[in-house]
Formats: sequence, structure tokens, C-alpha cells
Amino acid sequence: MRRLLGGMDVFTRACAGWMSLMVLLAVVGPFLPLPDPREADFEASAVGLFSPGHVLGTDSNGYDLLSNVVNGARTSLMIAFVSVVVGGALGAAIGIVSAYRRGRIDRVVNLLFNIVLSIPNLVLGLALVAILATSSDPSVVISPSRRVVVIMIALTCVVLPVLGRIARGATLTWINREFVVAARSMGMRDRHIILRHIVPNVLPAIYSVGFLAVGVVIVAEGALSLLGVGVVDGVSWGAMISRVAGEFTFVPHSMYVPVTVLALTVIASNQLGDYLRSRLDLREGRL
Amino acid sequence: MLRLTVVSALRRLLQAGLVVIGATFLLSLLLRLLPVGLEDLYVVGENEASRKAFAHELRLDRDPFTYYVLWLWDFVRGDLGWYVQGGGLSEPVSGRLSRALPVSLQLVFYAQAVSLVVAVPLGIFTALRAGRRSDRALSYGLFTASSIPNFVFGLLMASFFGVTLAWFPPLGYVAPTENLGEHIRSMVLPVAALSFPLIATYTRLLRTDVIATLREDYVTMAVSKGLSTRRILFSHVLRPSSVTLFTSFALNMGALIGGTIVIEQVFTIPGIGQEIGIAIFSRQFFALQSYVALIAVGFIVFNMLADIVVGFVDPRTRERRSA
Amino acid sequence: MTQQTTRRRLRALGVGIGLAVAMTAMASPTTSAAKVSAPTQGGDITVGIFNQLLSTCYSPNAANSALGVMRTVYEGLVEQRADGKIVPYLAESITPSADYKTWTIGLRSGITFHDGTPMNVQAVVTNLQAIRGLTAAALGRHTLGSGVPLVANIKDVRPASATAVTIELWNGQKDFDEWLYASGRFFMRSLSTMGNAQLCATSGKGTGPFMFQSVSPTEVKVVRNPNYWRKDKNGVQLPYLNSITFKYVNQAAQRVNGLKSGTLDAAGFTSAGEIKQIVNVQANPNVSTISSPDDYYAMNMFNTAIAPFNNKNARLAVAYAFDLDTFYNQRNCFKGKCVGTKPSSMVGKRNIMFNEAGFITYDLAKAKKFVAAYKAETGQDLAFSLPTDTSADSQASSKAFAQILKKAGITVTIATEDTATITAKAFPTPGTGLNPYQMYPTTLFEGTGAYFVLPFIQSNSFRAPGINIAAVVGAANAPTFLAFGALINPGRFSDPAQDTLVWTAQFDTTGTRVKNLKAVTKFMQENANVLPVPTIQYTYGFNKKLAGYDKFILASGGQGRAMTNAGPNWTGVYIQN
Repeated sequence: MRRLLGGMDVFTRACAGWMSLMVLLAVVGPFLPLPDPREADFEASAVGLFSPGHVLGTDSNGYDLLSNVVNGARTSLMIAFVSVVVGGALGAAIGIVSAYRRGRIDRVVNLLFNIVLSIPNLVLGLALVAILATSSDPSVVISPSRRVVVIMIALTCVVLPVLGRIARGATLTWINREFVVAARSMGMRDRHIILRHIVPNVLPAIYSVGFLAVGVVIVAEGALSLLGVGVVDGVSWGAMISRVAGEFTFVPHSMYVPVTVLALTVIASNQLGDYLRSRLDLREGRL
Repeated sequence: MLRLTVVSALRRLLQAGLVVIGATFLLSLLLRLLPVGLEDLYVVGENEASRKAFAHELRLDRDPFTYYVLWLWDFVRGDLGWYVQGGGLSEPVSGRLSRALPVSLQLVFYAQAVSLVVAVPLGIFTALRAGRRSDRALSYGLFTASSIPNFVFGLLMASFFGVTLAWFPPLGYVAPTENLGEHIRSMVLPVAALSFPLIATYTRLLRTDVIATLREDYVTMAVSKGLSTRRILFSHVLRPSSVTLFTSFALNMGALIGGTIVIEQVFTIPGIGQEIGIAIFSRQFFALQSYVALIAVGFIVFNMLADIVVGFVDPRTRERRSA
Repeated sequence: MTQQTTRRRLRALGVGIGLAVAMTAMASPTTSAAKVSAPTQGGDITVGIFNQLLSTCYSPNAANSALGVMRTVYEGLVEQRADGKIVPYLAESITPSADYKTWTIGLRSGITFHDGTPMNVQAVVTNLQAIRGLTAAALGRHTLGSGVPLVANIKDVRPASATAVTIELWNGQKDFDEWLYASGRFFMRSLSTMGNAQLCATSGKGTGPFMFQSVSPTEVKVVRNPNYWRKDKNGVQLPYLNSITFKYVNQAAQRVNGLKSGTLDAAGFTSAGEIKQIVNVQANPNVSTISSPDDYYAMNMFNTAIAPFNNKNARLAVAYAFDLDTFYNQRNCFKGKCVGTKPSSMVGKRNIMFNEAGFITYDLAKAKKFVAAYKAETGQDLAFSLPTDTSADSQASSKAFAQILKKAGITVTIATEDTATITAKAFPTPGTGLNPYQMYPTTLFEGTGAYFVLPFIQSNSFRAPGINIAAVVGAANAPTFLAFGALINPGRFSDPAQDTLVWTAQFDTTGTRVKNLKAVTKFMQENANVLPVPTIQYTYGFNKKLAGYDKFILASGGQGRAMTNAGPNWTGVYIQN
């Protein structure tokens, strides 16, 4: 960790700082003394920055922007982290095992990855959300939390093959290294070889691409919201942007606030991913 | 050598075919697994007999596999299914597609063209000045730009250039056959919004590649032979670098198609993105299946072409790839 | 892509008749351009609309602005005057017998459909039968729509002569001619398109001033019908415009942008969720606006068949807890400008049924009392869910509603679904269930008459005394029609006392009719059967290219409505020379 921090330039440090701040807000957000992000202030709609009681102002409906940014971080980052972690873990596991086994399994897995990758990620996300968020029983309403879960599942499906392919590629390069070949010839069990020798070497690649994927997922959440299939009823950055997209000509700050936060977060996660990649000297493809 | 290339091209072709079948089957399966049965969605009618007849017409009484095979056969022959409304077939998907597809393709190709035209000089410029202040400023700027989602650019530009300055129409589409000048004007903002992130990607890619190539021995040799910078650049550096660029170009087609969905929404452009949106919101899942399948096929074909072409142009990559 | 707003939902009624939309009247066009030239022919314009035209056919019904497109191509037997009265239009005369049981419709001669076929007795009879749902089997499924219950009282339709049609009713009905209006949706279509679902869906043929040239859900182009039957008062052949291109522009902000930049010559807005944009447009000196009259009475419909609102205490609690002033200021006003009005009755002042008696106003103490009474009776806290579509404004509206009711201890859960789902569930396929929502925000009531109020508050139009649908369609088909009858009753009213009041008023042909109609309103309000919310207004903005409007002098005399929920009457719109 210290080694990683030591090599950071100012920009990367700022990015790491921003990312930490966002994660912190996501965690402690609900405990901060902020207005309820879902409750409008009937007396103060569309007030500007630094208004009394509303540090970042309110949008035209009277929702407190700071509260929405802070609480939105929770949803947006949770969606991003969950889909990247789950997608990354599953993808890495599948990718490593299939590359290690080679042969037919590997060909099938590779084909499956290619199949899912052949559908552009936003199109795939959109189709999955449209299909999964349709409730079968009219009396059962889809709750906001189920929507979040559906979006997570859809975006996990998007992330999985990307990271899976990276893991597979990285494994293929490590598998012929002397120490792996030696371990194999010594009759070491496959599980041990994978866990001891391959996973530690493949993980850095996953980390760096994972950071890039966080940015992609955050943007995808925003795009889905804008298309009307996001966390529309929840509190997220995408929901904020889609809510004010139509109004920023007359309440401009309500647009600039969430867009700035979202863009900074994406920049930060991209930079961190890039930094990790250069530190670990990886030359994998970008998302 | 050439035969090897042809063989690997054929292998790619076969693999692409498999991916197409896999992707479309997956979609078809998803559709049949819809929590709300398609029957419940579409099959309305006065009586049991007419309902049954209609379910049969929609092939909803078939098992998912047969359903898929029949769908694929139709798809291959260009029958993309129908919009279903009020218990009847209302409109063939192909009709709407033939109006929407050219619009989206124009958007995608303009965006690619514009991005390349801007990115190539920028990439070379930054590579030649690598490490200097101008390079770093540009690189950071582009990096930042590539992180901002294209719909944000779209919204801001529609407001600023479309309304405040009123230079370009903030929404709508004009066909080139109708009025070429207006067509170009109507495409400026959406193409710009789509291009920003691409320009950043391409520039960075080219910069890295050019820097790497400049370090190669043959370039050093050319320099020592006293060839002019321009000559070296064009005959020794750009050609190998352009291969990477071309691959990225093809790979970005998919992302771009995804991007156009949002951009078409922001600028109200009647392309395939809007059709997909409409299909989702009016629950036209048969149409949705065809649209997504078509995008997947287009994407796969593009990747395959890129691979094959790259294989022919640069044997090094082919060897690397087959490894 | 998100489409609508809480109350736009109904407008997107996919199922059938347009409960939502209606027509409208001339709200003094506020054309600010000082010098308006005399109308002449010519010009092509582009209009931004907020609903998609999903079919050119009658029955996947068109929501508000899609209906506006339909109404450039199709016309009905009757039309609405500026004062709200329904008058003959394609019909030359509509004459009742003394007992109001037999109505004779005299047809205007020389009117042809866009395919050249005449609008004759045969065409009108077939259209009326299709509207009744009787010709469905012969003419294709698509003709059976949820408008069927509106004409449940028709017993028979037959030719009377070469130029007249006779409609025989089960019960005498004094305002039957108004019921033929159906919010401007009972169109006359060419016979060639009625039998062919595909043709009907993609290139419908009516008698209107414009004809479909190209149709897609995002863009529809209509062109002048050279053989249109009307001329303006100076003898200029109508319509004035050569063509209109309707562009579906989902986001209100984009419509505003289009209007300001000149990409759009006109654009429509609804006060259901687009108040801020309307205020924004009205403040722009380069844009003139025209608004519909205040005839669209929005409501949150209680579902009286299921918990909690099958309990009167629950309904009363919500009615007393609804702080209308706060809601209005929050949702209908922006920067000090307000659109729509606060209701003081379930229908507006211009409606024949207007009655303030029994209307419940905000009273927090009483609300809490009824919440407690509900709890005492059922042992449960008062809580319910409110379906809300994905648009930002619908969400904000529902949240404001929930926030207000929270003060009285009522919990509102916002159930988010897309518009198509909400509509499909609230108006399910006949026979497959009934509205499952505990509360349903909608705009059912409209106009100045009873014709677009009464159909929605009776248990089933086909069960009215004296009506025997089985005698018309046979016992086997009768359940289908009864299912349609139940369909347009999303409040799921089944109280016999309410039915009796409604049917007494509906079939009253004497001097007590108005009194009986007002009694229905009082009953609905006392029992808190609907929760009226601020009225909906529809507004169109025009840029400078469009000069003004014709006076819409109807062939039957009087001035027609220039602006409705469906948008302006495009026949009379002309461009600046």
C-alpha cells in the first residue's frame, strides 16, 4: 500500500482522496444532519448554492441537492461496487479456471464471453432491466430496492465477461511460467497452483480494470436513469441527473451539482485504474 | 502465408457465426423467460379460439428451442417480426427498421470519422511532444473529457449551442436527401457529443503507439539515415500504429451504438436507439429482440472484419492473436 | 423515454377509449403578434408532441397529443363548440324523438373519405356498429375498444333513408348526442381500412383536413386533403397548411428548446408535470401560447373494492388530509405563476354536474380522527401504495402527495412502474381482472356535460336497467361486453345506491335531470369516492412563423373549440406571410 501511495503524483492523490471521500459519504451519509433526500422543502424550491439550510441549493421540486448527492453516492457507488465486485469475482473465477483447464471448457467459456460481449453494454443493460423489472403479478409492485437489485444484476452481467476475459488472458500468460510448470510437474494439486501461483498474479490486472469498470458502471447507471429505466424512484446520481435534465435551463445549478460529482468520480476511478495499470505494468485492453 | 491468413479468416468467420447464434438464442430465451408471459401481454381476444389462434400465430405455443429456430429462419430471410397491438399484428419491424437504421448508421459513421480526423493529428502531436507541458495539458484535458459521459455533453451543448447561441438545431433530424445543409447542421451537436470520448480514446491510443514505434530500431535507423521527420512519420510510424487504431475503431462500434441510444434520446433523433426505447416502453418485445439481435450481429461482423483485415495488413498481429 | 407524468398516464391509455383526453375549447388564443395577416393557404410546419402515435387505427387508443394527430385525419359525427356544447359536425342534424329513444342522424352530403369512397349511410352505420363492438368479428379484432360501454344504451343502428341513420336506444336519454362525442374519439373511418387491421394501423383513412403521408411512432407527416369539405368564412378552402410533421419529443425541455430555436414551429405541453416548462414558454416574448379551457378534472381515484379504500373511514381520512393549497403551490406553480385550478367539486364550474355540496376540504384534525377510526375498525394503520410512472415529475408529484398525507399519519408507498404497465394494469384486458391499484391517479372526467363523467362511475354500463346486451350479441358474447363495461370503472364502484343515482340521472329526460345529476356529484363527494386534484391544462406554444387561428366557425354554426387536450385545431392554423 505504501509502495502504491509513494509513487502517486498529485493528480492521482487527489483522485484517491476524492474516491475515499465519496466512499465515506456513502457509508456515513444517512447519519449526517441533512434533510431527507426524498422530502421536498415546500418553502424553498430552486434556491441557489449556499442558501440557508441548503448548502448546494435545491432543485425545482425543492429537494436538497447536497442530501441527494450524499445519499445518492450510497446507491450509485453500491451499484458500481457490487456489480464490479460480483462480476469481477465470478468473471475472474470462471476465466482463471477455464484458462487453466484449457481444452473444450475454455473454448466454450470464451465463446460465452464473446456472446455476451457482442451486445453493447448499454443495450444489454437496457434489455435486461426492461425484462427483469417487469412484474408478473399486478398486485406485486416492484419496490425501489428490487429495481436496484435488477440494475445490479444487469450491470454485473455487463461487467462479468469483460473481467472474465482479462482474467483468462492473464492466466494464459502465467500458466507457462517456470514456477507454474514446475509446480505442476511436482504434482501439486490444481487448486493449490491456482490459489497460490495464479490468482495473486492475475489479481492486479483485475484490480486495475475493475477500477475502470466502476467508472463505466456509474455512467451506465446515469444513462439508464436518463432512459427512464434506472433507479428513478430512489436516490442516486443518475436519478438526480434525469430529474433535472429537463430543467437546467432555468435551474442550472441543479444539473451542474450531480454532473460534477459524477464526472469527478468517474475521472477518479479511471485515473486510479490507469495508475494501477501503469504501476503494475499491465498492457491489457481497456473496457 | 496467405493461405494461413485465409484459413484463420475462415476460422474467425466460423467463430463469429457461433457467437451470432449464441447471442440471438440467449435473447430469444430471455424473452420467453419474461416474468409476464408474452401470452398475457399480447394475446387478447374475444374468445378462447381466437386467443389460441393468435398465440399460435405468434408461435407462443412452441417450445423455446423450436421458437428460436423458426425465429432465426425468419431473421435470416429478413423477416424481423411484427409489432403487436390490440390482439393483432400491426406493423412489420423491418419497415420501421429501414427508416431508423440509416439514421443511426450515419450518426455512428460521422462520429467515427470526426473522431479520427481530430484524433490522428492530436495523437501525433502529443506523441512528438511527449512529456512536454503541451502534451501533458492536452493529455489531462482529454482524459478528463473522456470521463465525462456523452449524455452530459449532449445536454449541455443542446442548451448552449442549440438554444442560447442557436447555432445548430438542438433536436431533430433532417435526411441528407431532403436538405443536405440542414442535414449537416442537425448532426453537428449529436456527433460532437458522441465524438468527445472517442477523440480522447483514439488520441491516447495513438500517442502511446507512436511513442512506442518511435523507439523501435527501424525508426532509429531511419532517423540516423537522415530521413525527414515527416517521411519517417508517414512511412514508418503511422502504418503500424494505424493497425491498433483500426482495431480500436472496430471495437468502439459497439460502444458507439450503445452511446447513440442515449444521444438519440437527448437530441430526439429517430434512429434505432429511439426505436429500442419505444419498443421497451410500449412492451414490443418481439421488436426488441430483433433490434438487439441486429446490433449484436452488426457488432460481431465488425469485430470479425477488423480481425481479418488486421490479419491481412499486419502479419505480426495475426501471429500474436493465434497464440 | 420516460413518458409521462402522473396524470399523463391516462392519456396513454393503450387499451381503449380515451378516457383521458378530450377536446377542447378556445381559450382566447393569446397570439401576441400585433398584425395578423388574413389566413391564406400554404406552409409546412413541424410540431413537437408528447405522445407517440402507436397506430393510425381507432383502437389502440391515442393518448392526448397522439389524438391530436388522429384528429387532423379523422372526424366524428359531432364536434365540440367553444362553449363546450356538442353539436353536429359530419352529421348535418341529430334529432331525437319525443321520448328521446329514437335518434335520427341526417348526414351531410358530398363528404368523401381519403380513399375517395363516400361517407354514406352504409359507412356511418358500419362505423357506429364498430364503435359498439358489434362488427369486431367481421372487421378485425382491433375495432373492439373500451369506448364500447359509452354506447351501451344503443339498441339498434339502421339506415333510415339514403341520407339518414336511425339509432334506437334502450332507455330514453336526453343528451345522447353528446355521448357520441367520446372526447373526440368516435371517428368515422373508410370501410376499406376497417376490415384490414394492418392497413388501419399504418394508413388509416378518414374525412379530415389532412391525410397520413408517412407514419412512424416518432414522426408522422400529414398532408393537405385537397377534397376537404370545409371552407373558411372568406371562402378559402381549408385547411390552410400544406403539411404538418408531428415529431414525438419526449422531454418537455427539448420541446422548449425546439420552440426557442425554431426547429419546432409549435409544441405541446401538459400541466400534468410540465408546469415549469409552460411557465418558461409563456415568459418567452418570441413564443405565443394557447391553452385549453379548464375542463379536465384530474383525480386520484380510490379503488373502492379493495383495502384500504373499501373502507369509508380510510377514504375520508385521505380526503381530509389532502392539503390542496400546499399541493397546488408545490406542484402547479413555479416562480409565482400557476397553471390549472384548485377544485371545489369533483367536476369544474362549467360542468353541468358541478356541485360544491359535500366537497371535503383539508382538515388535519378530522383526518387524524378518521385515521384513528380506521385503525379502531380494522386494527391496521392506514397505508397504501400509489402507482407512479418513471418520469421525474410524476415521482415528485407522488412524493409531495405522500409528504402531505404523512402529517395525518397516513403512509403512502410510491410504486414505480412504467406508463404502459400502469395503464395495462389499471385497464386490464377485459375478462382478465380489474384495476388492482389501491389508488389510481388519472384524468377521467372532462367537458361541460355528463357524457364524460357518468360512464366511469357506474358499476357497469351494460347492467343499467332496461339494457339487454344479450339480446343484441347473444348470450355467448354477452360476458365479453360486460367485461368491457366493468373495464372503464377503475374505481370499481359497486354500490347499488350510487348506480341508482347515476342511472336515474342518466336516463332522466325531464326537467329534474340537472338536479339529479348534481345529486350524483354530492353523493360521490360525501362518500369521498374520488379525490379531486388540480385540473389539467394543455398548452401549445407557437413560434413567430405561425400567425394565428381561424375562428373555427362550424358548419352547424357557432365557434368550434380551438384548443383541446389533443392540441390546437390544426385546420384553422395558418402561417405568417
